[in-house]
Amino acid sequence: MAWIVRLLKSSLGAKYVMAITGIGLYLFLVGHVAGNLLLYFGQDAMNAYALGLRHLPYGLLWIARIGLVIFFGSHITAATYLTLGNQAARPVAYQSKRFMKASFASRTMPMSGFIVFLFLLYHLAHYTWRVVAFTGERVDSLGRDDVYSMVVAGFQQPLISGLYIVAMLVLGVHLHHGLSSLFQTLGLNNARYNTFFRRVFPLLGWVVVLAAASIPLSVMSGCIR
Amino acid sequence: MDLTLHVWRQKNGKDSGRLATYKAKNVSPDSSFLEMLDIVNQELIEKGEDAIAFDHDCREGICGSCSMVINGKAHGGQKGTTACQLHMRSFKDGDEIVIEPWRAKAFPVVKDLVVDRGAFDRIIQSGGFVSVSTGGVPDANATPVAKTSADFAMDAAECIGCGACVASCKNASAMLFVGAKVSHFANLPQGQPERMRRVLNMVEQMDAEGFGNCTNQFECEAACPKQISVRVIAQMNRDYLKASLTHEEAVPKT
Repeated sequence: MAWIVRLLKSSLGAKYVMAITGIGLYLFLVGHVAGNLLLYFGQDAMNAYALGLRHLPYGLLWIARIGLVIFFGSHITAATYLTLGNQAARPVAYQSKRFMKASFASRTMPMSGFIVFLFLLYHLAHYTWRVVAFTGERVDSLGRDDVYSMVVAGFQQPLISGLYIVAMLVLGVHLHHGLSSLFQTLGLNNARYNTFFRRVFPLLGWVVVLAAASIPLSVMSGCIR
Repeated sequence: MDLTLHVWRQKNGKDSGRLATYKAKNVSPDSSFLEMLDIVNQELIEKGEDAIAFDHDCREGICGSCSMVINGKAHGGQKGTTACQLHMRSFKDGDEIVIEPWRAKAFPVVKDLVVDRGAFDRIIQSGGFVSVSTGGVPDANATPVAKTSADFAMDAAECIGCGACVASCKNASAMLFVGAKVSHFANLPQGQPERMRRVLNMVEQMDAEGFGNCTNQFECEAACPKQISVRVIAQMNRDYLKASLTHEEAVPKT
């Protein structure tokens, strides 16, 4: 097993962890946002979906939750390990550093990642643990947990909606670099596909975060009520 | 041209160092950046002061000695150019120019603009040998090499080990350098027998030297005076993954 330790402790091994968990977390985001777009199909569709998630067979919900904790934990641990190494690698800063090619998104990955992490905690506290800005249990006409009304009530508060929208934009910047960078990390750099890796895949991140940001925007503008 | 230089002066590795300001007067636009420094140094010597120490050797862009960050960009930031081939016509009369050494934990400052790039030598040493038959000179085309493979290998072999990739990287990562050295042999038949062991050892040595980690910003590619592509880093990433998962070292029977 020594080879696994050697691999994970190496700079490249930690980078593979970043890339692979990054793919997993992005796929989770796609599913999570797609599921919540059911808000556009009304109260019944949303609440039925929420109830269905909670009653997934074979303990799938908990398997998914544990998987998410492992993926987020690995992604954050590897990021911290790599970032600390990067900071240690240049103890004396330049007086006049100017960048020629590095994009804004690529240079701010640790910061955007940290902001997304703080948002994640808030988001969990808000809608999962329901300890922040929670306005009481709601039940719909069929006796189901009324997730639809909870979300609408949450996003009718401009400050909370604003926070979600800003967080989604930060996540968009994070994914803009991450979704393209992970291919290079996994060794995929080929003139045939580089247009996809560098131009198309960053857009896939924006599609998802803008879809997510559309929910608070729709509630605020009264399209969802 | 008259210029104002802000040059990093540091007596030795223990000194904390500072930027010192010098005037460079009547600089010919046709002189190279290093010649301009020579002129400034000559004046300093005549005044009995300590000349600015900087590395230089070939002055034709192939040795990789001249290492300085000029106005925040390694080698001055002109595309595909080392500091020695940067000419003063790239600057304007009255310009202020900040000159600093490479900044990396793995490249300790020796004096002023001179840094110790021994870490690169140790990484190359860790790569070990390639197996080549000795004896009579083989026929020129005895070993077939595809044109594309030869091109990739030669592009990687262009690396002059100047360290601009490390200097320009936000994380002081050496992965363009190590990637170039890995790709150099990984694309040639002569490099195949030791290919897996080579990439494992070189990456391990790179980490041990205290370089940072690549975050795929590709700043190195823009700063590289030999314009080496980051595809060499992808090759290293690929080979290291494969080697980590599959390579078996021979274990002697006991």
